[in-house]
Amino acid sequence: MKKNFFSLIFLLTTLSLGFTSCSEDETIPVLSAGFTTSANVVEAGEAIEFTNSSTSATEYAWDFGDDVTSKDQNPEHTYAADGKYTVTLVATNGEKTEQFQTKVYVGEYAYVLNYGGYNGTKSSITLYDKKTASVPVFDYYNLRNNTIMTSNAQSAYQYGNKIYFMGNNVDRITYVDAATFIQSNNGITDQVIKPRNCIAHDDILYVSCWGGEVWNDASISYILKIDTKTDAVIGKIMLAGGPEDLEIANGKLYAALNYDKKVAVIDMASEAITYIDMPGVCSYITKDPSENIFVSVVSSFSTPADQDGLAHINTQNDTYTMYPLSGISAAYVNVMAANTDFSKLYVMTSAYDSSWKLTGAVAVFDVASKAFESSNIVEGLFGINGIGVNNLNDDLNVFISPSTTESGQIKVYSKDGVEKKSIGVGIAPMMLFDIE
Amino acid sequence: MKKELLIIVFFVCVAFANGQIIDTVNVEEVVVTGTSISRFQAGSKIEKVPEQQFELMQGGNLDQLILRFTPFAIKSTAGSLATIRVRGTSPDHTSINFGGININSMTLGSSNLSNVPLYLFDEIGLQYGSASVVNGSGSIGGAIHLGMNNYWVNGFKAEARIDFGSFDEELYGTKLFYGNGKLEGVTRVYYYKKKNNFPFFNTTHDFEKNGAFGEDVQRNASVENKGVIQEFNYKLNTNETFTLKAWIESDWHEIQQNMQTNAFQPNMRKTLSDDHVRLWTEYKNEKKKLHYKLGGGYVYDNSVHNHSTNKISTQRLIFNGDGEYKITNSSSFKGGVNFKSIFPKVYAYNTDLKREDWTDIHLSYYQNFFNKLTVSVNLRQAFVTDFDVPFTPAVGFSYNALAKEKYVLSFTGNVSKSYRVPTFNDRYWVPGGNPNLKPEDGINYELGSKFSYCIDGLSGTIKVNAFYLDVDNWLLWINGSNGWEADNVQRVVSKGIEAQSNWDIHVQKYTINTGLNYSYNPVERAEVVGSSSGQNKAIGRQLEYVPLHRGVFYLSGIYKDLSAGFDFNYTHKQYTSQEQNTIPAYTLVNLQSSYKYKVNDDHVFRFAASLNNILNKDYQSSEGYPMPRINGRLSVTYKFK
Repeated sequence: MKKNFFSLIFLLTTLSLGFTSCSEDETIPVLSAGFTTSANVVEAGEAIEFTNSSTSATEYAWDFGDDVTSKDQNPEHTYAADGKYTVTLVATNGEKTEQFQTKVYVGEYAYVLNYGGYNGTKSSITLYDKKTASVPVFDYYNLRNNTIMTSNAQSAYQYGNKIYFMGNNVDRITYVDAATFIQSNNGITDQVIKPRNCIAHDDILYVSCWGGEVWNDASISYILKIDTKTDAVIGKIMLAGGPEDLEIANGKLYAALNYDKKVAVIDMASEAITYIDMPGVCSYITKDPSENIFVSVVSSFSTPADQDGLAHINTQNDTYTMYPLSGISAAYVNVMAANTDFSKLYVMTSAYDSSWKLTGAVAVFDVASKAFESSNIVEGLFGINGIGVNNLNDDLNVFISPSTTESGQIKVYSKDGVEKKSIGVGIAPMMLFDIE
Repeated sequence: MKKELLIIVFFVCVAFANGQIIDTVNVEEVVVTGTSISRFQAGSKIEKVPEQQFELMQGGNLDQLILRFTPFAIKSTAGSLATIRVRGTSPDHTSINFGGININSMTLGSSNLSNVPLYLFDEIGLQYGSASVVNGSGSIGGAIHLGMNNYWVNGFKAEARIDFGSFDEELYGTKLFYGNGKLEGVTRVYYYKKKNNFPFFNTTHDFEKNGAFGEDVQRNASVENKGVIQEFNYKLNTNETFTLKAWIESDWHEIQQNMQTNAFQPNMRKTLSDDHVRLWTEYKNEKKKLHYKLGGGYVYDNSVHNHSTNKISTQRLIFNGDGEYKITNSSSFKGGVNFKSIFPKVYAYNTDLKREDWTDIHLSYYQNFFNKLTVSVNLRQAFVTDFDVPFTPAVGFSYNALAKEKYVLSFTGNVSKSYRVPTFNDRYWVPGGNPNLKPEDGINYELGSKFSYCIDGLSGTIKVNAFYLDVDNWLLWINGSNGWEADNVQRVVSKGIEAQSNWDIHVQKYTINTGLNYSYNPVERAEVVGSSSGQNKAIGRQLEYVPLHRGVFYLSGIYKDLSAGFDFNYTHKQYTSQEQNTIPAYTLVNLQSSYKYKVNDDHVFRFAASLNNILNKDYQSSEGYPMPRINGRLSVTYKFK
């Protein structure tokens, strides 16, 4: 027993000496390789700056993946051709070397916001190659941040060098750097309750918020004003009726109300609110090139519409013309998408198929003649969750979400309605956005 | 791990060293809920939760008992919401029966097992596999029977119980029995609350720390439930009884926040309260060759989400008549009719929907040959207002292959059809409800063998069951033509093997009980049905929230008035979506000990202690919702007579 006891003491002493000697080694700086980029998604011809974060290195060897190399500490590189490139940095100190890699995407890209499931998977962002209609990165946010998003984002919006996400489970407005897609803080939470959509003007972000269970009490909703430079909440405009989408036109802020048959018009200087009475509740707004707006007037469960369809509001005098479209989608975002010259406005709706089953469809509003085309461009869709137009080639992208627990799809149609392709994206895709 | 095993061994040893014996439930007359239903269902797997396990879990709710000792899967948050998945089926595929009432909500189709307190009951019966032929709609995966015995007390006896547990858990309960041997009243009351503010490791990414949020405490997850069951039983004579049971339950809880909300929106608080009134009355006459039962019931369910004024309530009136005619000692006929009127009052339903009527007719026959082979046939047809329900037959057998003095070997087999009428929400919720849905229909094939062994000092059983369950027109809410809607979207096939073993070993004054309960259950989406484009992602893959393996091992020892034991249960990883999201496998080890102190024959105290999750593991049963690490409970029960 005694012998065992002494053996134990000896072992412990040996171990402690071992640890002591290790700690002496730790005083020598460890060689590591690392760098950050000014952007990871660029167009051909656009320069990327590489900032070295290696430690204890004396030499650097860069390989940009396009047969171009460099020995600079902080090089700059411009890719000539589209593609996915692996950038490798080898940091050297004497005979020791360390390596770090990252990927750079060169081409014309957009981003797909996938809502996820309200009580399940959080949102994700899919990188979308507009030229090939393909998905190089399924969850780009995760790739850049090494973690998942912390909320379900109702919408995404770029202002300056930030991409804002309106997270409503948990409630918070988060943002990533527009160039690097890196999130650097936990976001804005002050007075943020059920944010829906946003728009910015003069460095102020206006955020429509439901404020809680607006379906029980329509008076609790508001528009939050956030200073985009400091992230501080600088004001709150109480706006009953559950504001959904926002748009700024002719110097006025328009809010589609989802729990009142109205569009609110807010004078941005005085914050005085006037209302345009509508034949139904409203959800989504698209601005045309003449600064007038199209609003989706929908029939919701709690408030059936007297008439549903598209309302075109003249922002000079705030009067509107109604273009009826029975069964227009009551979804909240991306109900409409215009083609690049705004001659056509695609509208999510529903229609009976040949066997008299109601299915999702996309109607086409001809802007010049101000009439819906006689037939829908697409019909027979299940789980339609949003639409978007590829601004490179005017292809119609229809987002399909069969459920909140499985991946969605983008169905790509030519402007003639021919299905070109179907691409898998994240759970509940709803929105396509570009970053400038 | 070694250290943890040592703790277990030590705990067991200490218990024995004190030299006492376990308490056993003293039941004067057992009216097992399982017995009457099992006779006409030859080959079905119907079991009673062993008394020791039931006694141990008396301070908890049904979900805790099932998770700890049965192979059924439970998806739960930490104490406020738990749903069951029997043999890979949905929560609304298992009926939960109190008297002649299936307590599953008519709107949701399922029950919250956290709102079923074991303290109010005397036993729990578990039926594995389809049971629609006896329980009607919904019992595709199985059935649970909440059993209550008749004691026919002559005089007065009583019981009171107090539990204190971790995270401000408290239970107060009492049972009063009074009667003259012919007329008895039984009053069972409980009050349960729990603050549920347990610590856990929050894995949510914190961008300001550039890592996990870290150590956290669960907020806004408290529970407060209370209930009473009042019974009056009247024995007109030995073969004629009348019973009346009234269960009034009022449950309230804060809807537990998930990890992200707990980290970043700590003040978010939502509540759910549920009120239930369940009345069941039954007259039973077994005087002549024709035995018959007449029952009637009333159910009121009301649910209030976060103080909303939107009404979600239903009322039910139930009538049941059953007759059994014994042709000979080895053959019987049974027939019956069940009638139910449902009155929904739900804000999202069309106001024209005032009432729906369900009528079920069933016929059963069983025949025993030479005391060796029993065969049963069941037929059931339901009629529902404006809805077509499939005809549901079942046939089964049990065969005693070997019956010796020391052992018995038997084989069982059963084929049964089952169905579920879609819930009121599935059919009538606006928007999305679809009155044209088809009923879900299933067919269950079951084969089993049971080996029982008994010699001096050793008795036990080994059971092996294999099943194949095919459910067509499985219903889900999907994003359909223009928003969310209910649809029959898939066919699901669930297969499996269940192995069970339970042994009692008696050595001098020591009794050791040990056993194993294991289930291997591959459940797959076999195909997509209907025109939906969805639900085709994960065909051929294990269904969400169904572990492929689940197993429980338990060991306990009794010496005089002292008992101690431990149990170990393992739940395999589970998919949480049709993508690759999973929650990891987890292993829980629990310890318990109890001591019975007999003041005299009339006054008995029982002191019990349990330590749960002694490995102090962080785990999840529902994705994103933490479960408590090590936690404990102390209880004192006083019994008068």
